[in-house]
Amino acid sequence: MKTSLSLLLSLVCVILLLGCGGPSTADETDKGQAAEGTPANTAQTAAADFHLPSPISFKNDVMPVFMRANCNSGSCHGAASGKDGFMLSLFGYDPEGDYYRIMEKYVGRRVNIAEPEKSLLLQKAIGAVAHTGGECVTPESKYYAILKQWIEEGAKPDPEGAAEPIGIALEPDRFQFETPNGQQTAKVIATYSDKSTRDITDMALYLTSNEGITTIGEHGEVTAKQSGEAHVFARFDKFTAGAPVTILPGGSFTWPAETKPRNYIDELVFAKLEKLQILPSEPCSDEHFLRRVSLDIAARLPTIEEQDAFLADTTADKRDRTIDRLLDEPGYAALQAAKWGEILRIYTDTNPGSGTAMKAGWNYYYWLREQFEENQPINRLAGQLVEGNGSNFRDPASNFYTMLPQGKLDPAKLGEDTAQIFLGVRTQCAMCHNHPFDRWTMDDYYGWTSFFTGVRRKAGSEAREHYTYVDLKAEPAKHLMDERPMPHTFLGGESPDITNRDPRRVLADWLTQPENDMFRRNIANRLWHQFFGRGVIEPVDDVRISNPASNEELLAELGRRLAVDYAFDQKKLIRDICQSRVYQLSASANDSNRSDDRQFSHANVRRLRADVLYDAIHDSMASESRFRRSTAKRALDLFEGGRRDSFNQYFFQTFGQATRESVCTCDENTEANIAQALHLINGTTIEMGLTRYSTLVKDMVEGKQEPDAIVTTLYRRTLCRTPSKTEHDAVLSKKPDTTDHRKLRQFYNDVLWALLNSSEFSHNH
Amino acid sequence: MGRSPVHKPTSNLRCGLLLVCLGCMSHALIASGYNQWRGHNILPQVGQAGTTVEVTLTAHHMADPLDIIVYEDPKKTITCAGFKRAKDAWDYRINKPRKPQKGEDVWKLKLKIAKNARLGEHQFRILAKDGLSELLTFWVTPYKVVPEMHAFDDNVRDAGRNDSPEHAQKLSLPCTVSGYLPSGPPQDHDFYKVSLKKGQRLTAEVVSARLGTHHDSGLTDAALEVTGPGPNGPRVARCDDTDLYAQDPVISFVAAADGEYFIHTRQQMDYETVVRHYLLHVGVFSRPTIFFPLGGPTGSKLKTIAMGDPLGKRIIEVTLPKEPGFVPIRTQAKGDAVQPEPNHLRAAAMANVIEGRDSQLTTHKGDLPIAFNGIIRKDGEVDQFQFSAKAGTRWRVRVFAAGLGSSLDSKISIRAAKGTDDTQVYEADDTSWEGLDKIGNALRHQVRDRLDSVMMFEPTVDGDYILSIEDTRRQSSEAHVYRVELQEHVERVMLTFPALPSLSLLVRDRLEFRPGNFSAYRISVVSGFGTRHKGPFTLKATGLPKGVKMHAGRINAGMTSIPVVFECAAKLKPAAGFCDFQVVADDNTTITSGFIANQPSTDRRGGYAMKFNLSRKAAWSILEPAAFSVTLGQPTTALPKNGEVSLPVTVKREPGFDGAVYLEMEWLLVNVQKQPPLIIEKGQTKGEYKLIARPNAANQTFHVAIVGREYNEAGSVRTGAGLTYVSSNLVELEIADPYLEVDVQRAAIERGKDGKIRCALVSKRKLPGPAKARLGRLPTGVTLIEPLPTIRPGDKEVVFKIRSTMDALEGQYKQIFCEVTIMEKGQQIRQQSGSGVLRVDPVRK
Repeated sequence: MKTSLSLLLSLVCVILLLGCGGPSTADETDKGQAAEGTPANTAQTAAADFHLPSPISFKNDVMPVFMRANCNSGSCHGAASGKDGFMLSLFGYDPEGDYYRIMEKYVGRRVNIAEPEKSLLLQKAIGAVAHTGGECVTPESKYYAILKQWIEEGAKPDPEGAAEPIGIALEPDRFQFETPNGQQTAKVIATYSDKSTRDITDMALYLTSNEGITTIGEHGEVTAKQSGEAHVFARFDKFTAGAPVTILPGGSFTWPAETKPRNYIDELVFAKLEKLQILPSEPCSDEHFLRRVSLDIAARLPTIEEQDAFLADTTADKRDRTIDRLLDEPGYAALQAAKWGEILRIYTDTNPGSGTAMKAGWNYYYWLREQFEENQPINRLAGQLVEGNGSNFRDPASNFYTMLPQGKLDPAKLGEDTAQIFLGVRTQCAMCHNHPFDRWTMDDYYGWTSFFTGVRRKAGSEAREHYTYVDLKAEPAKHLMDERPMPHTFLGGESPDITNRDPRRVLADWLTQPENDMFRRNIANRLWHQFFGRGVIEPVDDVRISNPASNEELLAELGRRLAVDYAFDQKKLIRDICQSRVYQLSASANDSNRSDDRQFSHANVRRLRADVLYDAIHDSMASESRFRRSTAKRALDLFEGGRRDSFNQYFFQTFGQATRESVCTCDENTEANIAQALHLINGTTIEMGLTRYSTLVKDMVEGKQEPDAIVTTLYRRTLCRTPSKTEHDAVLSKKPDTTDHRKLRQFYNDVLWALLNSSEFSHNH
Repeated sequence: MGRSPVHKPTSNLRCGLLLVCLGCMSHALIASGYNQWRGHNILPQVGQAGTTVEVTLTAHHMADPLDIIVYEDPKKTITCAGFKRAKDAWDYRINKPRKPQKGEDVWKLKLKIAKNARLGEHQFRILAKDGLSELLTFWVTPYKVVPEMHAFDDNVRDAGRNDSPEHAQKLSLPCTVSGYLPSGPPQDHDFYKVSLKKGQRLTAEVVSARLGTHHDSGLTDAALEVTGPGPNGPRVARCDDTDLYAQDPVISFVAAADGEYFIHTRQQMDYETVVRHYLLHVGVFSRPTIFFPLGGPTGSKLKTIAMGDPLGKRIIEVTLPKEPGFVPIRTQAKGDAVQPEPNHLRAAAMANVIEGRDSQLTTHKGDLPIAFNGIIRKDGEVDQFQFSAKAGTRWRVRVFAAGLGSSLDSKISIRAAKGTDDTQVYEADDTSWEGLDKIGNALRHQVRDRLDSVMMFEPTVDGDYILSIEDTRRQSSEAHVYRVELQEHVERVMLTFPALPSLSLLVRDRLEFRPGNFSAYRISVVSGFGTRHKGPFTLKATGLPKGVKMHAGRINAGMTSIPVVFECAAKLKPAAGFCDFQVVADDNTTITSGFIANQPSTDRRGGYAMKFNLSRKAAWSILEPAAFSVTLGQPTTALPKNGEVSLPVTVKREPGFDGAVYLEMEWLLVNVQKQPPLIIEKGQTKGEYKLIARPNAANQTFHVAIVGREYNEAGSVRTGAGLTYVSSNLVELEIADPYLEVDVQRAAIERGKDGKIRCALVSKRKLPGPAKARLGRLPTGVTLIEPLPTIRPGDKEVVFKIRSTMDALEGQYKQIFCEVTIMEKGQQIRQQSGSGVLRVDPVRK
């Protein structure tokens, strides 16, 4: 599901990338300038307000001006080939290169030391000469002054050993507003390698995680817009710092005494809700709970017998026992294997040139499923994958290195995918430039890539078989900028000694140790997502400073419990989640939590996964599924999803089954759309099931069951509840007054068809 | 609540039309003879030693089968006890009998299996009056053969089916099941039950991929699983692939309790749609997975440890043969049945060195050749052997591991030890077919043997060297056994019938002689691993039948294949046998040579073959006389470079045959091109076959023959079944320099006017007489003005008159060439030369 945060980030990207814009952008900028008196897209501050350091540092003063004025953004001079003959490194990842291009590539062209004001750099920046990007700074601004003074001082490079920023901090580190519409100004302090600090509020870039809740101005003005929680961020050099902004709705608020936590999850979620003055919804009914938890854990609807037994059970722990029972069902492992199969990209080819033969995919899938059947610790599974070695047939974990690439081995891509799968971190940006919204630098990227440069593949015992192995003599990855070999370095960690060791084994050890906060939080977050439809960090595989957790304490505790208390037994964490009152809240919202979509104050209505929905349809109709060239009985059991099943491919595609084209969770689409509705209404999935394969209605009609009983059965098989009186009466009012079995079958099939087409059926709630 | 009745039943008319279309397609395939193998398959593919079995042979164009020929001593193998025509064929797709299709022959073949027949796979072909079949394989088992219940109809729903533990087929031990896995879905599951006592060791072994089903395009990738005791007992063992045989599983376990155990076999995946067959050996027998050491000196008594038996390791003593090579061995402990499928060891004329257990470096003080033996027991372990070698001798270093069932994927290197001044490092990982003394297929094929490293070691100084060996994947186990032989290099040439480049299967891979006629075959010449001697060679044949002569030209250096023509005397009776080929170097260098065929016997989609049938004998047969013969005229002049020569072809038909004949040369020198196939139509007997030499063809003499066959749709071009191939006599051709080099000079012509193109002539060889000349590739609207000029010996220039019409398009036209037609000794020779430019100008105003 696309989120507002994603949208926001996209917009931020657009703003950064389009910063200097093309001609049309420049025109719009000009109009804005005329209308408001201040350029809409320029970085300004009043001349009297600033004091310039001396001497001006190229890296610490000039480069931030380029960043602030968007000169080095992707659509301006930061583009791969620059703009209009002038190139800067994207977001300033290469200061030395930028200095060379300004000063040395065409000596005297861009900077005029004798007459600084005539420097092309300044003339272009203020729009005094033709400049595609228009006026980026004003002559009165601090930024102009910095550039000018730097030139006046000889436009020198920074001396060897000059202090460099080593971090920034946003002050205060959290903002709280008692009511909307307040404002507070943030300050950004940079710390340098010589331990000095500097107020760089005017030099930083700002962004917010939710513009609807809070905004942050060019000089750090944080404005509360509506109640809720969001984050504001400041970006300077290669650092990003953030602070939460809490805006209370105002008025009085009392936490209801009867809302007691069942476990630590409730305590942490309720604490946050109380702080935000959001009331949680009521607990869901037994009927809703049973349907919800059966679909979430075992990927199936509860049978009528299970519903009867559960409703008749009056013991206090019946929900807990149900959770335990479902965790032991085959459907649990099947669902986990399907979900992991998607991000591990299990799909095969009849042309097994890169080891992706069907047999390999088959073995990989069933091995993966077995890991969940045997409840192997999830860190062990991850470790086995990362250090996967040997035959793609007989050492299934080695398929990590055949299925992920689906072709040629690329160490950089392997590194990116590994980080995204196991740490939830997207490092791709840092391949070409320091990550604009996170802490990852190119050094981090290539140091991480080095773990995979030795991975090799070769033919095995037969044409379909490939061996994965490691070449210990392989060179580490080379830095894109200067081709220096980058030592193997953990993301955000140290550079280990890999002498005579498989670097991937070293990596696996680091990755899966209980203390690895990134790994344990990522797994916990992914599990949380499974039961709430969104992660504590969302998207779950886009963890970065500028995308913080909606409840940091909750995520930290989930990760700690999973790794330390449960030794990575994920069933235990699932049990905690499902036993929590938070999970068992109703989907019905109240006035205070209606707009909440981040703090888990009510159940999130989620469309079923394509395969689970497909199976639910057939379970409801009591019809047998038919898959092309497979004896599988359930869509969830298809070893590479529905890719090879041409009978039902349209269904799986329409309902957004993960295409396995990438490791991204965005590969799966759980949004509802008109094509899905049309397919359920008119497509073959329900129609053929009802008319050809299902005898459910026929048996009931021919068994002379009462209309009440038939309608109730149909409701319970689909929605897992009895119909309300209104529904009951409405349905039976359409019943033809006949004893003709054919007409009665047609009628009840229509009822079943309508139920299957209801959104209550296709969603978990 | 209503809904639209949008789902309409499929139109019967549409269905009918579709069926009609499908029927047409299938008819078209049959007519084109696609997949019409002369010997399509035999079922079952197994028999017990000492019995006579009747198998069903499905074949195409095999009206009169006569006998079988086996690739080893018939006294110790199988013999034919007669053929009887069967009424019906079996349609495996619908599991019902059906009438044989057009061109299809179904026979009941009785095979008598010698009591002392070698156990395991046997290769044979079927001789018929009109052809020799493809190579077929048959398994001899020591056990009673038990057919699977309802083997061809697993969908029956009675107590006889064996698709669940409850309906498992009871087996008496030991036995060999001949089973069948039909195409799914639903996926077929076959269950067998055996009674075991606690502590008893049961072994179950599948032979399926090894059956080789290239005629059915596939293999069975079978999986085995055993549960018990009891129908709901736990899983005892399971197996998919093995290091012994890749896809064929083997299970060996010790029963934990008395009771019935259930053996479950199925195709590994559930979506295979091709019919598969399997053999399942079940019994109380030892099935070692690997031995250590893997070999020893020829003629010696070798003590070796058999590993992989759940009852534990055993030391056995084997007397190795005096001849080097691979030695099949079978184990049989007291109370056990004999092992049905052998393991293999190496016998080589060299001493054995066993690795030291306490040190990674083992030092050998003796001379080469030597064999080093060891096991990689720890992950990442590198075993090293130090030895002395002298400069000047080339050694082939060959690992024997994966090919003999070891789990090792070897990687080796040799470098100088401390004190030896040699900086060269020799390294090898996987190997090519040639490294294994085999010829493979050019397509994407891979077998376990190719994991074994092979390299040439040629020390440049006398001294000590260290050989290192490790597992590429840095894996280890007790089964990571290896043997490295350092054997002095032997210059080797391998001879084979080449595969067609577009097919993974060999067509016409056996010699078929027609009495009173010629037969031509192309024989490939492949240098062995590290062989530097490239010829010239003379081809020799041994084992040809009396009355058959071989005609072959010289194999010059650089030639990779030559045409060979066999002349068969008239009135010879049908017969079959085996022969071999060798080459003899003109300079008397010792060359080891011989025939080899290594045919893929499985053929998955994309040409991924995994099982190969290796033979080192070429099968020959004398068949019925052909209905026609072909004569190729000997050219009276050389073929000039950049020139063309026409060879006269004559077809002589015997009474009763008046059809068209399709003629083509199957072999030519590099840079000599041929015309499209020549078809001499019904009622005609003569034609001409043109050859063109490219400018860069080498001056040399070579031989060609033309192969003819009936031109009809009765047989299969892909397999050769149903077609009669004969060849012409072998004729000698010479490639020579051209007579002239023509320099077509730049010219211009105005639209609607006449003009001239001058060509300068350079004589390369004296013209035998006047030659006709013309220009080619003139632009549209520009024509030559008759009469065309004649070039006489000694001319320095020839001038062509040209005319441009108003239709000629203005512009520059390149590559105008001059074609010269020369008559010499009655032979017409054409050569092309020059590349001129003509400019067509607008009309001047």
